[in-house]
Amino acid sequence: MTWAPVETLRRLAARTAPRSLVLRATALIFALALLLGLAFALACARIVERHEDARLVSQLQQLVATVENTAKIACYLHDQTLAREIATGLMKTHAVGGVRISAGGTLLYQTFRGAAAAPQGHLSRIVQTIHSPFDARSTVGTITLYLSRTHLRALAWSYTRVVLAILAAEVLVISAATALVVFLVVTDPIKRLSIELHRPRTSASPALRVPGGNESDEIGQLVADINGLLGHLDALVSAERTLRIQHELSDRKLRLVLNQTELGMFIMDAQGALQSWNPAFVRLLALESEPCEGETLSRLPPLAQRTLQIENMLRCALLGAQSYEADLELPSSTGASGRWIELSINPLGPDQLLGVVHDITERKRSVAAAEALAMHDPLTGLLNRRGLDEALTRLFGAGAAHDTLALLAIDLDWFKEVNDTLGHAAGDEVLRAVGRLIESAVRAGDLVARIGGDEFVAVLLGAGHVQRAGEIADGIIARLTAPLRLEGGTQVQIGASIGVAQARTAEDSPAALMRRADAAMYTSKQSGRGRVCFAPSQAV
Amino acid sequence: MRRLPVMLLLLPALPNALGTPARARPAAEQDLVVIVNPAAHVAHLTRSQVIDIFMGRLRQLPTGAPALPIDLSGGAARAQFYGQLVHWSLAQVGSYWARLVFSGQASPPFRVQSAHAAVQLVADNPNAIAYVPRTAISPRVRIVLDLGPR
Repeated sequence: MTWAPVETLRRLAARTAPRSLVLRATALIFALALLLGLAFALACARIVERHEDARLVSQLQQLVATVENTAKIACYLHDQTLAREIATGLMKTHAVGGVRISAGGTLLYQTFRGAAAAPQGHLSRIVQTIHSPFDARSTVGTITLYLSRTHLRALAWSYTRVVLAILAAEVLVISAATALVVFLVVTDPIKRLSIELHRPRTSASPALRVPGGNESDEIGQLVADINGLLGHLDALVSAERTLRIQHELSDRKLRLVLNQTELGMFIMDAQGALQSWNPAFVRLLALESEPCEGETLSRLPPLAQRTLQIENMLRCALLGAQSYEADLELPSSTGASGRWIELSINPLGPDQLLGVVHDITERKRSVAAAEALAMHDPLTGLLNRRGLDEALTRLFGAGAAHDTLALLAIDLDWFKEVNDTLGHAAGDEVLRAVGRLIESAVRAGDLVARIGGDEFVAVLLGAGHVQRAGEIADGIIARLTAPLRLEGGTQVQIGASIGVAQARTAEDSPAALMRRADAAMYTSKQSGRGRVCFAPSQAV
Repeated sequence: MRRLPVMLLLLPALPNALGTPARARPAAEQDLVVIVNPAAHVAHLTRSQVIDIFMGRLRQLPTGAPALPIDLSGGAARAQFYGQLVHWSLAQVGSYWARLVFSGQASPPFRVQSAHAAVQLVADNPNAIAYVPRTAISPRVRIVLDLGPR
């Protein structure tokens, strides 16, 4: 019901009324009944007044009838004394407020109750025509009776008082009955329900008991609802507890893993400000102290030289929503000199990033070692053919740095004989010695390689002049031709034939250079060994 | 209703037979006539005028001269007269006058002992007016209303 006055009354009652349903309901019903009773009594007073008016008028008519005969005589004789007697007698009736007797237009007598000299307002009255006592057809006068307003009021009020008293008694009784009924039907079950709610619930009786007699009504329904709610809550709480335990467990596991792992991990926001990290992160970056929260990753001392690269990675990871990785060498200025890390940055969410750092120094080192192995001759420690190719390619790619160079193709003479007579071990010893000898003949920075069984190559950098290259080649031949004393005390003698080719790196290629040097070396071999031959400088 | 005053009887002496026709009828029926002195110069009176004069309402003759109604004391003629005139019994008439005597404003007609005395009085007094049996009249009076037999 949203009838406005009722709603207003209810709110008013809720605000001002005592904090008890019984008292509030009783007070409300009492007030309402009182109000209605008063209105009813007022209406009743009006009705009673009207009703009494009509009744009194008929009474006055009877009254007039009793004095009619005397009035006839008074009017017939115009007898004022008799008229006064009649009026005085009539006035003894309380209902009569005034009397007027007149005979044929002449006022015989009139009288009014109280101070009023004449009837005021709209008083009820009756006018009776008086006929001659001897001739019923002849009119001799009129008698007018006025109803007493005071009497009417008093009468109506006395009736109304009775009605009011009865209503008041009824209101009291109904209010008391209401209080009792509300207490029995509403408040008491609610109070019992409240006590039941406060009772500690055990697993033996987890549900609330319905107050007796309320099983099938709204309170029973309420208890059922509360029980449903409690069951639901219990289930929720236990589910929540299980979840929390699981969460704590996995949290602890994660923390353990994070603390124990060798992987450095950290979380940062979109601006690269660090939010959290694990100990391995600090260890791997060899930070002197724990970074402050909010410190920017790229500004950490070990990464300071790579600020731009790291910020780029951050941006790309955020924009492309994919991981970016980079290998970084930590600068020697920090405590992690010579160490390599791999930094990978992975987007976690719209403004969070997960960074992973791990140490790749070992990998870097083994890769470097493998590369070195692949480029060098294990016997002599000199470059092998592949190493030489790489070096030459690098030199030619480098351009103007060494604009001219000379390549010496060195082929040992008589080595096969040494190998055949003294065995491979001696051959190896000779080859090692040859390597050392050639190295001692060239300048530091020049390249020396062993590209075949007894074939060596020396690359002289910046050897602009044929003469200078020839001198070095002659030096090599001189050293190699000198007798060699092996470990076992045996003395051997070998020699070398050398082909020299010169090149401008800008306009030549390593392969062509090699071909020319080889050709020159063959020429040297064929022309008697132990000598240096020069390839034509402008060979195609 | 209980509170209403008991009906007031202003004049308990008022006969309840008032207005009802007379029952008693004299054995000897006579013709009654109303007579005045010829000097009064009244030729005729209506029944109503006679009632007014005899019942105290009118104290004058139509000429303006004072009227002196003469009643007969007792006897059948009196009962017949009031019975014929106003259809009242003598008791009612007595009660009527008793009430008016109390107020002091009107008085019953002067009474004489016999019809003869009444005729004599009317003959002597030009203001007198009386009723008598037609048999009792003399030439010295004039009949102004003939009531006739009952």
